[in-house]
Amino acid sequence: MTRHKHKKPLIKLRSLYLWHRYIGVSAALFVLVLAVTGLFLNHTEQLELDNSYISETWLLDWYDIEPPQRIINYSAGQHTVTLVEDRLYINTQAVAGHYESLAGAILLQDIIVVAADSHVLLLTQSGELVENLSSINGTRQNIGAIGQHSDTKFVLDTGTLTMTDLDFSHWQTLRLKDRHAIQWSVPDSLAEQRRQRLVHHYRASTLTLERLILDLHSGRVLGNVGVFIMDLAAILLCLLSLSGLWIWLQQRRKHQNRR
Amino acid sequence: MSRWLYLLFVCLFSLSAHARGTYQEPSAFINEVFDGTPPAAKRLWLTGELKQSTTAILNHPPSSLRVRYWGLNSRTAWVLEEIGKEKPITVGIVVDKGRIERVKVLVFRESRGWEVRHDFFTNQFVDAALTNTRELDRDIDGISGATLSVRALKKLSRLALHLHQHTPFANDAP
Repeated sequence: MTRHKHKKPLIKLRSLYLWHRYIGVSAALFVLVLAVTGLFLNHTEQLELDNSYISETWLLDWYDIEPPQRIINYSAGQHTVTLVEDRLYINTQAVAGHYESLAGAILLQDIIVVAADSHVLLLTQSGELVENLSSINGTRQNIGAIGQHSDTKFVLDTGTLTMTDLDFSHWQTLRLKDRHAIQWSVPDSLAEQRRQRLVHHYRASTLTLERLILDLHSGRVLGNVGVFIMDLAAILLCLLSLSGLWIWLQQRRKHQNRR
Repeated sequence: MSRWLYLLFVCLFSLSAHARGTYQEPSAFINEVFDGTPPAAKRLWLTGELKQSTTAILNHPPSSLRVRYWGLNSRTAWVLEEIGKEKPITVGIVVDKGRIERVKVLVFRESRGWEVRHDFFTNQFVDAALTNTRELDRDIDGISGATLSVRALKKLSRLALHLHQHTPFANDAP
């Protein structure tokens, strides 16, 4: 009777060991994924994960990142100034910031002058921003068009015609009847090769490494199924800790009984 | 209960929405600083050594190669921008005789950290100067929950003081 009583918990403990082992092996991969991605996410800023972008086409396709619908292009001398959705490019060089509209671009004394939203951007030919004037005559007005008046002056159409130079030092209002003297910037077609390059650049600057790691961590990279799998992994981890605790308690009791 | 929660949510949302926005147009700030008759804007090119020192202060290269400022006698006024967490904060800074006369948040676009616009915070910068290591010569108390905005304002204050030294108006100091 006493022997029988001793045997029963031993079998239970062995069975619990087996379950604990199976659960441990099953959860191992998930623990690794969770731990490694968690470590990365804890140091997002230091590792600049939010500034690193994924450019692999299959991953962009997996995330259904669509090609841009809106591409507006202007020529400024030999250069192209292109708005791809809300991103601005000088040739293939991205300009910082987001813009809703592009009214035109001209080349004036080796400087590219771009009118986007209510901004007048002065850029070097390599795409470096010289200055961003975000208000005209102290007011924020959307610019409808930009044109060249002379070798040193350009005109902005904000309902009224305003002329200035690259220093923005003097603002002069022009009469509407003087419009014909201005060489206005007009939309231009974009070479197919450059178009494809900008489309790829646009798609490749949408998905951050932080987003991908976050989705790996939560399982969302595989959609709803992935979330369900990670839920299951979390349950397995709970069971692992409970079974481990239970085994420890059983062993402790066994040792106490022996004494 | 749900009504109270709804009310709390509406209050918090409207507070946050109210906190974001333009507190003063940069042109109005410059007008105010020079009593309605501002001098013509001048430009400072951030090239060579000045670009390097600006990069060191901001911890990143400056967003533009040219900065505009307004100067009269020993005073200069600057409208500078720096990103707090995600969006730029526009700040007006007046420097007189190498010391900060005034700091004002003009446009705040972030969803958090708007407390930096209050005078109790910006007044801490008044009379601050730059040390040899291009740090402020005094401690600025932070605001919990607004760490990144506080950091942005400190950087811009150091930058305005540093840029002031590279203008002809710095030599007017006695």
